[in-house]
Amino acid sequence: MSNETKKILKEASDRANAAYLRRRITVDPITRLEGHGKIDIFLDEAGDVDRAYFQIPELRGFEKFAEGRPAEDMPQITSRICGVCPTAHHMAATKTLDDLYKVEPPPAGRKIRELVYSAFMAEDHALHFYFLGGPDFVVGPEAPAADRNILGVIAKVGEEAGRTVIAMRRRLREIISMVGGKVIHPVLGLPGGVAKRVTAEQQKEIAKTAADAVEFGKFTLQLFRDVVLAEKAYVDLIVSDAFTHETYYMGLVDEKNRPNFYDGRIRVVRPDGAEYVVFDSGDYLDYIAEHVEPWSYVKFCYLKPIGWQGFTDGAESGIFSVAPLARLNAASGMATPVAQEAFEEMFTTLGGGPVHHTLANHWARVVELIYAAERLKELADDPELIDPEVRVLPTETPREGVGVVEAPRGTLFHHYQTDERGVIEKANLIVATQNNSARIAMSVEKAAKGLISKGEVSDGILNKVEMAFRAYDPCHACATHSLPGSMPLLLQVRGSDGEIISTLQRDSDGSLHRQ
Amino acid sequence: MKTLLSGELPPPGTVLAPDVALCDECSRIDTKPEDLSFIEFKRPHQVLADEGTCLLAQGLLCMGPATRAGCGALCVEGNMPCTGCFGPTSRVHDQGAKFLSAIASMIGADDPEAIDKVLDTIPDPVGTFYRYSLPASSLRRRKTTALEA
Repeated sequence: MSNETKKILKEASDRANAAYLRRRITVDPITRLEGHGKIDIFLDEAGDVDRAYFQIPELRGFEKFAEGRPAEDMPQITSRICGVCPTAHHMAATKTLDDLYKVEPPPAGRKIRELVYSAFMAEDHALHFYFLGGPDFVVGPEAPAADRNILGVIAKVGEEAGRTVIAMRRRLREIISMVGGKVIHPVLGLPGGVAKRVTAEQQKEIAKTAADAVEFGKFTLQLFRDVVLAEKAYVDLIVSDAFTHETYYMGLVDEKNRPNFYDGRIRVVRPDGAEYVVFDSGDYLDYIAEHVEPWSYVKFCYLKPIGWQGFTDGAESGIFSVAPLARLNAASGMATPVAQEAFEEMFTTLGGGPVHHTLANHWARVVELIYAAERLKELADDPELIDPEVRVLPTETPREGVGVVEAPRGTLFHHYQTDERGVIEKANLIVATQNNSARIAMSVEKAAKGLISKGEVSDGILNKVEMAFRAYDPCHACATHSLPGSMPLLLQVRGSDGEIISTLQRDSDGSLHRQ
Repeated sequence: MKTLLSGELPPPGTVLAPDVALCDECSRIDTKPEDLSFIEFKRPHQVLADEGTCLLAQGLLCMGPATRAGCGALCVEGNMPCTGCFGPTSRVHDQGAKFLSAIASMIGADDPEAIDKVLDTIPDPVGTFYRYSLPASSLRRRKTTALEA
């Protein structure tokens, strides 16, 4: 080949590569969520979006290293799946232990658990509204990136309001420390109850925080009305087609079909709102299955009886959604008065249920914050809370148990099989955000297609694409808790000094190479 | 915060906690006996632990003696045994081995069979003693190298 030919070929190759790079837009890392991820958008020749991928590169392995562990250690082990929502795993694991040992907590034990759990739901929802998802609306989706965070929110709502938010979360978290030992990775959960009783003095302090939390919930809803609902551009964004999907919706409900975060039966409704199924946690494997794609480590849940039909909407597709909007869609009201009013306001404004607008998750989350605060107050004011009998000792031989709670980010299942000593032989976790992962992938792609055309991309537009996942308040450390199927993988094991001890490689044909 | 803002930071690798075992910080230290002797160990779900007495004295595997102070003994305040998450003091190189040797000296039995019976009440020694410290343990530093001929 002559030098002239080489030169021409190289120029052509450089042009092709440059054209390819112009057609690939990457948001890495994505921000204001729990966990790690990136969004890859591929444009066609016209500059419109051809495909968009929401990829999660986290890999954890909890289901594997749980094997061989005493089951009573699981509430503390699984809480390490996440530093934002550890209490959700702690509680799901604790309830799994109840089922494993066939014990029921005494009334005070159950109330203490639900008290801690309500405080947790309230503070975690407040975290998302003010720190994670809220900035997009309070400061504006196209505001400079440096302002799209809690500091920007405080600048907008004022320092006084900012202090209120921070203080309220601190006080709610102090309840968890007080009752559960510590707030990140609490220790209260044991089969048959909790580790420690609540004193009368503690109850007084908790009751005061709870009363203030209800007012805080109302304050947050008013802020939402003033800043989001009063702004036509935001309302248009919320109801726009780019951010709308019609899927099934799942949530835990009590006997009156109202959300209960701690316990209940799992209810699923169709996209048109009709009830599809109600089942007990022990039967989850009949209804939920997981699908794997080669481009992400997160598994995609779908309704087993309907089957995996691809990333599509509608009643024929097995894709479902969980977390605030889904929970409210799967319910017929709220169990506490102020939350009930807020529930009715939301559905009336948005034209009745079910609501399919993904961004309405932010609204539903505020309704849930109010319910969590009201429920906290109910339990804090209950005289039985300080009863000294908080735990019963198990007597049955353990074999298998399933526990379910509503994590802030969706329905959470823990399932353990043990030997007769209660040592884990097999563990399966279906974790909140996994249930949403298919719909999140669809939301990101649809938003990208709706917002990007003719190759025009700006930071504001990319942020709006990110808003498509942010509404779900994803928790990806949670969603990627397992070791997934058979995608190509390079595993490097390093000692505590950072040096590589061994390497394991799996190719796409499944063959393994160890060094 | 002031130190951070002043820019005068302590040397890298400094642990911002006291260099003594957790027992020193624990509110229950007055109830920790000089000599402990066990014929069996208890798992947390098998007993209703007293809220004011040393957990080790109650037969629970509290990692306090092998763990650095500085966390406020929060788990013990929550009436659950310490699991060792803060790591060992600077004088200990293998946290799990440190606790294992402490336990070994507390076994109230002489013949091997009796000793085994006591140890059988600990179903997951590695997961319990090395929960947070396995990567740094001397157990893991084994490396196989080929010998040159």
